[in-house]
Amino acid sequence: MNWSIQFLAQDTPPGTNIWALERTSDPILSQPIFWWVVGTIIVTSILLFLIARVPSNFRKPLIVGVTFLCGFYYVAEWLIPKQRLATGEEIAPVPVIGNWLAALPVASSTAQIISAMLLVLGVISIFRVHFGRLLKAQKDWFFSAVLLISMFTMLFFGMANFSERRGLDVTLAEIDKAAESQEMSERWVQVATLGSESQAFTTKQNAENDAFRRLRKGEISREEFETRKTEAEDVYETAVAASTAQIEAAAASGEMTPEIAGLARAGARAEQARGFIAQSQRFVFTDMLQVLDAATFSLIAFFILSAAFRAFRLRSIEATILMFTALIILLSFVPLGLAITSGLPSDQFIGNLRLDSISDWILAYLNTPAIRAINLGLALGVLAMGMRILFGLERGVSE
Amino acid sequence: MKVWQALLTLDRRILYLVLMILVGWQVVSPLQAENVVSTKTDSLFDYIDSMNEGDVVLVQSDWTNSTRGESRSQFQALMRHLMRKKVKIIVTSIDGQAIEVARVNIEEVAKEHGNNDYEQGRDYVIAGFFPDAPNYVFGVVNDIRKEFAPRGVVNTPVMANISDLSDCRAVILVTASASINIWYQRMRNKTKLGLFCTAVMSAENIPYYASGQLFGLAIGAKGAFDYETLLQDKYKEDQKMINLAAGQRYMGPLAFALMLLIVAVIFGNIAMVMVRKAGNSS
Repeated sequence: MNWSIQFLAQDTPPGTNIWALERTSDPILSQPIFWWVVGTIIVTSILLFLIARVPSNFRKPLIVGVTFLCGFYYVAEWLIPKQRLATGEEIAPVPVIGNWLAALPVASSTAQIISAMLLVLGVISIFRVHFGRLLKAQKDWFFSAVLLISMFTMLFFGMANFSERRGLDVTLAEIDKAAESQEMSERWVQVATLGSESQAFTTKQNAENDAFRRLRKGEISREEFETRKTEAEDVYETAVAASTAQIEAAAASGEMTPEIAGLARAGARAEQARGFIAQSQRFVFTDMLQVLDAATFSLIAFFILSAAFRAFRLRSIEATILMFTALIILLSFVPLGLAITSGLPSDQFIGNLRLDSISDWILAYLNTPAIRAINLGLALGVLAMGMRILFGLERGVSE
Repeated sequence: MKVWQALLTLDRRILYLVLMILVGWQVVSPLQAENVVSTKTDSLFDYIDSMNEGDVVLVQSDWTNSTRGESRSQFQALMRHLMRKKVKIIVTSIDGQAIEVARVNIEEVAKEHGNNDYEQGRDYVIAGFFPDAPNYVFGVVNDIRKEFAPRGVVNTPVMANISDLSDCRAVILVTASASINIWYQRMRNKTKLGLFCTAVMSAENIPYYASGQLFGLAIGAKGAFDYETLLQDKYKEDQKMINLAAGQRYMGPLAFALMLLIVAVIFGNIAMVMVRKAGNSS
């Protein structure tokens, strides 16, 4: 029994611990981890099949029972006393099953796997609903089409990019290996050349950006800006020429130096980043989704302003206190607000009237106790709800 | 009287227009004021600044571009500091989108001058997205190597000396949600906890700073600007380094948006009182 818990927790020595298995370049069918995954899928499918076949009058007791056992397990972690060994390890011995604490990671991993499965379930559910609407050409079918196209485009490029990054890891490992054995090949010459261009370009871009920032702040003139841009271009040309000479020398001698290995690593990254998949993923995720995300949320500023103007009225003492407190805290969040009282000396009594002092006092002596009281009430509510779920009294669990 | 009545029934599009003009003006030509750095951000900076080359921190990034105004400048300032200190970084997230956003931002900051050409696998690792937050934190606290083993990061130089969470100098969260609550509940004092949060999350996290459970706290866009100000004080010698960035740039627009909000609330109330008074007298 104890062995099985340790095996599920993957605490057993290497060989049976599947996560400790080394990744190799062998064909996938000859790798043990592949067969572990296949076995797990088969066992899980059988379990799910059996659960689906449970007669309806047994389903409620089964759900309540499993919920109680799972919930109690986490409660027991905190409430049942444990024994601390001289090594610092905590154990909670129970007859027959041994140290049940060893099974906590199993419960934790299982919960994580179930959460991950829920994400897949969500994707399947969205697909079913919207694909059905599309097929039947129901109202707003066009939006369903947009949603499905967006979802699968993101899914495709996200997964393809992830796979490419795994490929990059393999390339980087090969470069490290070549650096160890000091072997130079035509492939590494190409990659290192790309790396030298990429590194020099980044340096040039940094110099140009710095010059532009200074121009915008008025620290340098337009002529100075142009001079710095020309200098950056010269530095780029010189750096590329120097690296090229270094790479050619390494290619001629057939030896990969640590500097060339560094350039090759940078080149491999640049090669991956410039590929079609990486560019497309960046376009759909960073340049479209994230920009839309930011734009949508920035609209909140308009609604908050309009709502505050119409609804924030001093109709009672409480509302008045709330408003003045809010004004002080709002002003303390911007330097221009703090500047109103920043002239008051902070080391004298009058310094207590500085906005930052008043704001700190409000947050430390009014906000903190209030939040603690709210948290206590919240915790009691969560405890009550937890007990109801644990004992199957909550409708969602018991019906 | 007509003026107050008109103010009370002001078309919201006029307010939107004023907001757009003020923010637009400040984006183009921001007004600057001397910054008073918060003690909470100061503590955060001091502890991170006390780290040595080769130390490891776990950064959980749970923000996306919906809170870009606050979280992006916080995250970038934190990354600049860690990279300049040559601290190794493990990045995780409990938000599916956030991990990709973090990757993009780290790669952007790593290219900047003075940030030691940080390279994934050698100087930082991205352990990825974890769908079940409570059990992920439990796993990291219980056995960090086993938790991260399937992510292919445990055999990198970053995790070479990490056998337990207590080997990390800190866990730092950059978040726009209440994701830190799980760390409060489950961290068992294994290491120190720091937080960069949005302004709306500040009220509920300040008690944990007061109780010493957080070694530091940067709040909202002002927190980002505070951190940038401290970076500027420390690294002002090298003029090519980017210290004052988006955190500083956002202060002007934020200040004017907030001041418009304050003015709108005050005038809205005056108008209400005046109209009510006129109604009573008539």
